[in-house]
Amino acid sequence: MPNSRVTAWVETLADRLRELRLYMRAEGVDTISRRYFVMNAFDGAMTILSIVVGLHVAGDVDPRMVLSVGLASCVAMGISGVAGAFMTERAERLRRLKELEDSMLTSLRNSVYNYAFQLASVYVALIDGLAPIFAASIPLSPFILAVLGVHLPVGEAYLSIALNLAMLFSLGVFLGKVSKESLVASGFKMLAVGCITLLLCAVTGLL
Amino acid sequence: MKPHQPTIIELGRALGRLKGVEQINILLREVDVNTETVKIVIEGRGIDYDRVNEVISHLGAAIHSVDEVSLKRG
Repeated sequence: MPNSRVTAWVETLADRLRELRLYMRAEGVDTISRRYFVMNAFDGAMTILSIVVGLHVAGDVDPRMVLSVGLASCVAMGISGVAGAFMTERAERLRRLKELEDSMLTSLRNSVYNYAFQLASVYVALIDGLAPIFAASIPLSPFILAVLGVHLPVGEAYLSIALNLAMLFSLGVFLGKVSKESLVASGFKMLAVGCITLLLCAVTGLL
Repeated sequence: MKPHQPTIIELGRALGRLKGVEQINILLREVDVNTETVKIVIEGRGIDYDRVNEVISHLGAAIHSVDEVSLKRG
Protein backbone atom coordinates (compact mmCIF):
# COMPACT_ATOMS: atom_id res chain seq x y z
CA MET A 1 0.00 0.00 0.00
CA PRO A 2 1.51 3.39 -0.93
CA ASN A 3 2.45 5.71 1.91
CA SER A 4 -0.15 8.35 0.98
CA ARG A 5 -2.95 5.79 1.21
CA VAL A 6 -1.71 4.62 4.63
CA THR A 7 -1.57 8.25 5.82
CA ALA A 8 -5.10 8.89 4.51
CA TRP A 9 -6.35 5.73 6.21
CA VAL A 10 -4.72 6.69 9.52
CA GLU A 11 -6.18 10.21 9.26
CA THR A 12 -9.67 8.83 8.60
CA LEU A 13 -9.36 6.46 11.54
CA ALA A 14 -8.14 9.29 13.80
CA ASP A 15 -11.05 11.47 12.63
CA ARG A 16 -13.57 8.71 13.36
CA LEU A 17 -12.10 8.08 16.82
CA ARG A 18 -12.12 11.81 17.59
CA GLU A 19 -15.73 11.97 16.46
CA LEU A 20 -16.75 9.00 18.62
CA ARG A 21 -14.89 10.45 21.60
CA LEU A 22 -16.69 13.76 21.14
CA TYR A 23 -20.11 12.13 21.09
CA MET A 24 -19.28 9.95 24.07
CA ARG A 25 -18.17 13.00 26.05
CA ALA A 26 -21.27 14.91 25.00
CA GLU A 27 -23.45 12.07 26.28
CA GLY A 28 -21.68 12.02 29.66
CA VAL A 29 -19.88 8.70 29.20
CA ASP A 30 -16.72 10.10 30.84
CA THR A 31 -18.61 11.00 34.01
CA ILE A 32 -20.34 7.64 34.20
CA SER A 33 -17.13 5.66 33.65
CA ARG A 34 -15.32 7.77 36.26
CA ARG A 35 -18.07 6.98 38.76
CA TYR A 36 -17.96 3.27 37.91
CA PHE A 37 -14.17 3.26 38.16
CA VAL A 38 -14.10 4.68 41.70
CA MET A 39 -17.03 2.57 42.94
CA ASN A 40 -15.61 -0.68 41.62
CA ALA A 41 -12.00 0.03 42.50
CA PHE A 42 -13.29 0.66 46.02
CA ASP A 43 -15.10 -2.70 45.94
CA GLY A 44 -11.96 -4.48 44.72
CA ALA A 45 -9.77 -2.91 47.40
CA MET A 46 -12.28 -3.67 50.17
CA THR A 47 -12.68 -7.29 49.07
CA ILE A 48 -8.94 -7.92 49.24
CA LEU A 49 -8.70 -6.04 52.56
CA SER A 50 -11.38 -8.28 54.07
CA ILE A 51 -9.71 -11.46 52.76
CA VAL A 52 -6.25 -10.47 54.06
CA VAL A 53 -7.48 -9.23 57.45
CA GLY A 54 -9.81 -12.19 57.89
CA LEU A 55 -7.11 -14.76 57.15
CA HIS A 56 -4.51 -12.86 59.19
CA VAL A 57 -6.76 -12.76 62.26
CA ALA A 58 -7.55 -16.45 61.78
CA GLY A 59 -3.76 -16.96 61.85
CA ASP A 60 -3.37 -18.50 58.44
CA VAL A 61 -1.84 -16.16 55.88
CA ASP A 62 -0.54 -18.61 53.34
CA PRO A 63 0.46 -16.41 50.34
CA ARG A 64 -0.68 -19.06 47.88
CA MET A 65 -4.10 -19.28 49.52
CA VAL A 66 -4.56 -15.48 49.69
CA LEU A 67 -3.49 -15.20 46.07
CA SER A 68 -5.83 -17.97 45.00
CA VAL A 69 -8.84 -16.53 46.85
CA GLY A 70 -7.91 -12.98 45.80
CA LEU A 71 -7.54 -13.82 42.11
CA ALA A 72 -10.77 -15.82 42.10
CA SER A 73 -12.52 -12.80 43.63
CA CYS A 74 -10.93 -10.57 40.97
CA VAL A 75 -12.26 -12.78 38.18
CA ALA A 76 -15.74 -12.83 39.73
CA MET A 77 -15.76 -9.05 40.28
CA GLY A 78 -14.44 -8.49 36.75
CA ILE A 79 -17.10 -10.67 35.11
CA SER A 80 -19.82 -9.19 37.29
CA GLY A 81 -18.61 -5.68 36.42
CA VAL A 82 -18.36 -6.25 32.67
CA ALA A 83 -21.67 -8.09 32.31
CA GLY A 84 -23.66 -5.89 34.69
CA ALA A 85 -22.35 -2.59 33.32
CA PHE A 86 -22.72 -3.66 29.68
CA MET A 87 -26.36 -4.69 30.08
CA THR A 88 -27.26 -1.62 32.15
CA GLU A 89 -25.41 0.81 29.94
CA ARG A 90 -26.77 -0.71 26.73
CA ALA A 91 -30.33 -0.38 28.03
CA GLU A 92 -29.75 3.26 29.01
CA ARG A 93 -28.08 4.10 25.68
CA LEU A 94 -30.85 2.43 23.65
CA ARG A 95 -33.42 4.43 25.57
CA ARG A 96 -31.51 7.65 24.89
CA LEU A 97 -31.15 6.77 21.18
CA LYS A 98 -34.90 6.18 20.91
CA GLU A 99 -35.56 9.46 22.71
CA LEU A 100 -33.32 11.29 20.23
CA GLU A 101 -34.93 9.49 17.29
CA ASP A 102 -38.36 10.57 18.53
CA SER A 103 -37.19 14.18 18.72
CA MET A 104 -35.46 14.03 15.34
CA LEU A 105 -38.36 12.17 13.67
CA THR A 106 -35.78 10.01 11.88
CA SER A 107 -33.75 6.87 12.44
CA LEU A 108 -30.25 7.33 13.86
CA ARG A 109 -29.24 3.66 13.39
CA ASN A 110 -26.71 4.51 10.67
CA SER A 111 -25.40 7.64 12.35
CA VAL A 112 -22.33 8.17 14.47
CA TYR A 113 -24.69 8.33 17.48
CA ASN A 114 -25.46 4.62 17.19
CA TYR A 115 -21.76 3.67 16.94
CA ALA A 116 -20.85 6.02 19.80
CA PHE A 117 -23.59 4.54 22.00
CA GLN A 118 -22.48 0.98 21.24
CA LEU A 119 -18.88 1.88 21.96
CA ALA A 120 -19.95 3.64 25.15
CA SER A 121 -21.53 0.43 26.48
CA VAL A 122 -18.35 -1.56 25.81
CA TYR A 123 -16.10 1.20 27.19
CA VAL A 124 -18.07 1.58 30.43
CA ALA A 125 -18.28 -2.23 30.82
CA LEU A 126 -14.49 -2.55 30.46
CA ILE A 127 -13.86 0.23 32.99
CA ASP A 128 -16.33 -1.38 35.35
CA GLY A 129 -14.76 -4.81 34.98
CA LEU A 130 -11.12 -3.75 35.05
CA ALA A 131 -11.37 -1.30 37.97
CA PRO A 132 -11.76 -3.96 40.71
CA ILE A 133 -9.05 -6.12 39.09
CA PHE A 134 -6.67 -3.14 39.02
CA ALA A 135 -7.54 -2.18 42.60
CA ALA A 136 -7.18 -5.76 43.84
CA SER A 137 -3.89 -6.41 42.05
CA ILE A 138 -2.03 -3.74 44.06
CA PRO A 139 -2.70 -5.18 47.56
CA LEU A 140 -2.23 -8.67 46.13
CA SER A 141 1.22 -7.81 44.79
CA PRO A 142 3.13 -8.70 48.04
CA PHE A 143 1.57 -12.17 47.88
CA ILE A 144 2.49 -12.52 44.21
CA LEU A 145 6.09 -11.64 45.11
CA ALA A 146 6.05 -14.08 48.03
CA VAL A 147 4.79 -16.90 45.80
CA LEU A 148 7.54 -16.04 43.29
CA GLY A 149 10.07 -16.47 46.12
CA VAL A 150 10.96 -12.79 46.60
CA HIS A 151 11.90 -12.10 50.21
CA LEU A 152 10.08 -9.06 51.64
CA PRO A 153 11.38 -7.11 54.67
CA VAL A 154 7.86 -6.80 56.13
CA GLY A 155 5.18 -9.49 56.40
CA GLU A 156 3.08 -9.78 53.22
CA ALA A 157 -0.18 -9.21 55.10
CA TYR A 158 1.05 -5.95 56.66
CA LEU A 159 2.47 -4.73 53.36
CA SER A 160 -0.76 -5.64 51.58
CA ILE A 161 -2.87 -3.75 54.14
CA ALA A 162 -0.55 -0.71 53.88
CA LEU A 163 -0.78 -0.76 50.07
CA ASN A 164 -4.53 -1.14 50.28
CA LEU A 165 -4.93 1.84 52.60
CA ALA A 166 -2.56 3.88 50.41
CA MET A 167 -4.71 3.06 47.41
CA LEU A 168 -7.90 4.00 49.23
CA PHE A 169 -6.24 7.32 50.09
CA SER A 170 -5.35 7.80 46.41
CA LEU A 171 -8.95 7.07 45.39
CA GLY A 172 -10.06 9.70 47.89
CA VAL A 173 -7.58 12.18 46.40
CA PHE A 174 -8.95 11.40 42.95
CA LEU A 175 -12.50 12.03 44.18
CA GLY A 176 -11.30 15.28 45.78
CA LYS A 177 -9.94 16.30 42.41
CA VAL A 178 -13.28 15.48 40.77
CA SER A 179 -15.30 17.43 43.34
CA LYS A 180 -12.66 20.21 43.49
CA GLU A 181 -12.51 19.86 47.29
CA SER A 182 -9.45 19.49 49.49
CA LEU A 183 -7.49 16.55 48.11
CA VAL A 184 -5.97 15.61 51.49
CA ALA A 185 -9.31 15.81 53.35
CA SER A 186 -10.98 13.67 50.70
CA GLY A 187 -8.09 11.19 50.84
CA PHE A 188 -8.37 10.94 54.63
CA LYS A 189 -12.13 10.38 54.45
CA MET A 190 -11.58 7.36 52.20
CA LEU A 191 -8.73 6.21 54.45
CA ALA A 192 -11.05 6.44 57.46
CA VAL A 193 -13.58 4.19 55.70
CA GLY A 194 -10.75 1.73 55.02
CA CYS A 195 -9.61 1.79 58.68
CA ILE A 196 -13.17 1.24 59.96
CA THR A 197 -13.56 -1.69 57.54
CA LEU A 198 -10.21 -3.05 58.72
CA LEU A 199 -11.31 -2.94 62.36
CA LEU A 200 -14.72 -4.46 61.63
CA CYS A 201 -13.14 -7.26 59.58
CA ALA A 202 -10.64 -7.93 62.39
CA VAL A 203 -13.40 -8.07 65.02
CA THR A 204 -15.58 -10.27 62.80
CA GLY A 205 -12.62 -12.54 62.13
CA LEU A 206 -12.08 -13.01 65.89
CA LEU A 207 -15.66 -14.16 66.46
CA MET B 1 -32.66 19.44 12.27
CA LYS B 2 -29.86 18.07 14.37
CA PRO B 3 -29.15 16.87 17.92
CA HIS B 4 -27.10 19.29 20.06
CA GLN B 5 -23.99 17.38 19.00
CA PRO B 6 -22.26 17.93 16.62
CA THR B 7 -22.00 21.67 17.09
CA ILE B 8 -22.55 23.86 14.02
CA ILE B 9 -18.75 24.31 13.88
CA GLU B 10 -18.16 20.55 13.57
CA LEU B 11 -21.03 20.20 11.14
CA GLY B 12 -19.56 22.99 9.02
CA ARG B 13 -16.12 21.41 9.16
CA ALA B 14 -17.48 18.01 8.02
CA LEU B 15 -19.41 19.58 5.13
CA GLY B 16 -16.43 21.74 4.22
CA ARG B 17 -14.40 18.60 3.48
CA LEU B 18 -16.76 17.67 0.64
CA LYS B 19 -15.60 18.04 -2.94
CA GLY B 20 -16.65 21.25 -4.63
CA VAL B 21 -17.75 23.05 -1.49
CA GLU B 22 -16.40 26.60 -1.43
CA GLN B 23 -18.45 28.31 1.24
CA ILE B 24 -20.74 27.22 4.05
CA ASN B 25 -23.05 29.33 6.14
CA ILE B 26 -24.84 27.74 9.10
CA LEU B 27 -27.39 29.67 11.09
CA LEU B 28 -28.97 28.43 14.32
CA ARG B 29 -32.71 29.04 14.05
CA GLU B 30 -34.26 27.20 16.99
CA VAL B 31 -33.14 25.29 20.09
CA ASP B 32 -35.21 22.51 21.64
CA VAL B 33 -34.55 20.11 24.56
CA ASN B 34 -32.89 17.48 22.38
CA THR B 35 -32.56 19.16 19.01
CA GLU B 36 -31.59 22.28 17.14
CA THR B 37 -32.95 23.59 13.85
CA VAL B 38 -30.28 25.08 11.64
CA LYS B 39 -30.26 26.65 8.20
CA ILE B 40 -27.29 25.56 6.09
CA VAL B 41 -26.28 27.39 2.93
CA ILE B 42 -23.65 25.58 0.88
CA GLU B 43 -21.99 27.25 -2.08
CA GLY B 44 -19.56 25.74 -4.54
CA ARG B 45 -19.11 23.99 -7.86
CA GLY B 46 -20.45 20.54 -8.66
CA ILE B 47 -21.70 19.80 -5.15
CA ASP B 48 -22.99 16.25 -4.85
CA TYR B 49 -26.31 16.47 -2.94
CA ASP B 50 -26.22 12.76 -2.05
CA ARG B 51 -22.83 13.17 -0.40
CA VAL B 52 -24.10 16.21 1.53
CA ASN B 53 -27.10 14.19 2.71
CA GLU B 54 -24.81 11.29 3.65
CA VAL B 55 -22.54 13.50 5.81
CA ILE B 56 -25.52 15.14 7.49
CA SER B 57 -27.19 11.77 8.23
CA HIS B 58 -23.92 10.28 9.45
CA LEU B 59 -23.67 13.06 12.03
CA GLY B 60 -27.16 12.28 13.29
CA ALA B 61 -28.83 15.25 11.62
CA ALA B 62 -31.57 15.25 8.98
CA ILE B 63 -32.48 17.49 6.06
CA HIS B 64 -36.09 18.55 6.49
CA SER B 65 -36.31 20.73 3.44
CA VAL B 66 -34.30 22.13 0.54
CA ASP B 67 -35.63 25.65 0.16
CA GLU B 68 -33.50 27.10 -2.60
CA VAL B 69 -31.32 25.79 -5.40
CA SER B 70 -29.23 28.09 -7.50
CA LEU B 71 -27.48 26.91 -10.64
CA LYS B 72 -25.24 28.80 -13.04
CA ARG B 73 -23.99 27.61 -16.39
CA GLY B 74 -20.34 28.61 -16.71
